[in-house]
Amino acid sequence: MSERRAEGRSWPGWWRPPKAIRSVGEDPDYRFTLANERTFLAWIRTSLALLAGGVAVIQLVPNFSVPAGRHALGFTLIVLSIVVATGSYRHWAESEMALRLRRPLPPSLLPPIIGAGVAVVSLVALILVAVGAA
Amino acid sequence: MTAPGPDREHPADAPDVSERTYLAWQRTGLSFAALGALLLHAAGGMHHPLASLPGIAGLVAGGVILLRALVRYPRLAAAARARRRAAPPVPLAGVAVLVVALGLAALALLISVASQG
Repeated sequence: MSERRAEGRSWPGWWRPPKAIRSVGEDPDYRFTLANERTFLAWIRTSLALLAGGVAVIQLVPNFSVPAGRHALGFTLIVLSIVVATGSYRHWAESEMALRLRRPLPPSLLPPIIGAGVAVVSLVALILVAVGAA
Repeated sequence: MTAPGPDREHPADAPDVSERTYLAWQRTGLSFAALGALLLHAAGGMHHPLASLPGIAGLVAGGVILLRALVRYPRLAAAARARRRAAPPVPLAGVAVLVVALGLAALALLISVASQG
């Protein structure tokens, strides 16, 4: 953060609106800008799928034998979708700044977050179904 | 991995890039519309006037994204053909904020439905 303050920024780079991000550095090759945009859209669709999955689990799936199990799964998926939507913009902004400043592309935290999240939800769902069948 | 420099231009794949981006926006618009329909279904049993709002917002957002992608595609293709460096900008922050808002609205809606039942 001290490095960022030294550069004269009071907010993290990704918090800037797209217009401000586009004023940094110089325009990269449009193909890389569009590739970054498509990656953002792929994460947004993932977030929408998680959100739809959460709503569907609560609204359409029959009750598990464990009380509130259905709601716990659904609400977890919806919270995960909000995290992914926020992270997708952050990653797009950081990548766009790196492209414009010709810096190394930043790593993304989204793959481990969604991997762990979906694994936990799937495991809990499996346990709930198994308990119901037993 | 280092960010690519501005001296690497290969316009041979320009139409392909524009088309792929257009299709990505189309899929996103359709996803918004599908989620909107699901949220409308979820609000079906509720009598509160605001219950249908998230679903309608999802459907409208899907329609707007599809139309905007359609309008942007020729400009994108023209920019690519002209080897312009900057692609026409889009409000990506707005898309992310909309998904977060729909997520929070869905949470509120489902909690209301659960407390009613």
